[in-house]
Amino acid sequence: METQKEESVQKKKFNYKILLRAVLALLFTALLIAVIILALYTDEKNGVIMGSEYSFVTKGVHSKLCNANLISLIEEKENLFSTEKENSDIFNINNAPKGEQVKISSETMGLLLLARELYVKTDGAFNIAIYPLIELWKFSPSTFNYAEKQPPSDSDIDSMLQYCKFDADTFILDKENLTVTKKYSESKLDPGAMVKGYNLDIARQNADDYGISYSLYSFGGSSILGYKKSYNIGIIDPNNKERVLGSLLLPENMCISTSGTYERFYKDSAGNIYHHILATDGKPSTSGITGVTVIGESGVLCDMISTAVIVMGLDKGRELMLEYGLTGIIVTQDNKYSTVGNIGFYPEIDDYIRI
Amino acid sequence: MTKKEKNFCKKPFSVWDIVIYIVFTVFVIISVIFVFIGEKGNTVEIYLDGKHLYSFELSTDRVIELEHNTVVIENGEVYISYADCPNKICLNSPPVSKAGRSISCLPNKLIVYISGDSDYDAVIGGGL
Ligand SMILES: [Zn+2]
Repeated sequence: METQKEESVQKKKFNYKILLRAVLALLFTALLIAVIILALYTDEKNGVIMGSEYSFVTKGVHSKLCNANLISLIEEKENLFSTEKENSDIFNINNAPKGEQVKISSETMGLLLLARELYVKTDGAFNIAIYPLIELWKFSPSTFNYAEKQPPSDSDIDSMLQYCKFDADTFILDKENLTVTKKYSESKLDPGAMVKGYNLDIARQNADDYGISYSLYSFGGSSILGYKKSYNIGIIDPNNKERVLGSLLLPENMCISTSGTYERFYKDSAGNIYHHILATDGKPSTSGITGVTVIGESGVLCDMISTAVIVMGLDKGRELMLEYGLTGIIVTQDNKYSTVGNIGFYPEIDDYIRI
Repeated sequence: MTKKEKNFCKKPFSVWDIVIYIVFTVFVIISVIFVFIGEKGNTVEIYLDGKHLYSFELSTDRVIELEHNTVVIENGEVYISYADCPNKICLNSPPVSKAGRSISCLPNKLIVYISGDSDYDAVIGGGL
């Protein structure tokens, strides 16, 4: 009798044990699914900000919050750097009369000081004060279209050149009091050639703050950051933008920026083509460089240098990139390309010559 | 306490539990892989003002009329056929057909992006 009782009790306990194990296994599985889904949770954002497109593909538990915060951070920058937005720091500088001390934020001052450094370093090849000439040529966002038009006359260009310097005389940058003073009312700034890269640096800091797994950030289709993961990036052929010149593996946490003369251009009635990257003489650059790709840690530096190299040409441009520890590709109008540093570039078309 | 009960207290997890857990884990990982790496054809993703509006197959011809633009999917290509924007840059952009490429009407905050199988994670070009 007693042994029988013991057996039945044991049977009951055995069943209970199985149930417990099944519940544990289910909980474990649910937890595992939750962890995997959260870690791989992707938030994708596409839109237009500061007059150019952006695309974020962010993976991680807080990716949605992270992307939303990045957009609001960049909207704040728009209130500092936009040429169009009323009462932005840049708008206030551009609309100030000569001699007036314009109060700006320390962040804008930081950007302007960097622009000054590059202006001096490149002998004016990188110049955010060329904006009045960009407008004269009708290449500014609000004036540009592809329609055939006559370029400005040489005398109009020459008379504008004096206002388009970013030296310490034309723009007084007072970093103690955070003011900018212009020598000429006509002078204007457009930091467009550095803001997209600058946004990448903000994106990286923001992703750090949110503990993102990995992420791909793109601004204007011309500045990309691969956060915590290496990405395979196709480079558009500057001489035929419908195809890809080749690809490279962008190392993790590095930024890549391109500049191309094919971004904005128009023809005159005689069929001459004019593009939007102006050299120090106030006319479209004739260096023969049609596209530059720059890779480095600092997004803002990559963006700035890519523009400068188009103006400076192959040899001086390469020197500048090496001096700043940057790598990349320089493409010329006659279907030649040159790599700078060790980038592991895989060309994918065969009508190009490597020089 | 019986011997079995003692064993249960000392070792609540037997070899079979571990086997079951491993089977579960493998099952979960395989399902996740199926969900995330499902093969799909190229699709046209339309974003307006930062929001995803539509998703259409690239292989099916279609005309999408929006308030300020008209987007046309035709013969595996996408282009913008009408825009009320001032610069009309979008109308002068060549059609796109490959995954990873996009066309946009920036003044109207319209992005038309082709997603799908691409050799690249992203394509870069142009710029100031
Ligand atoms: Zn448009």
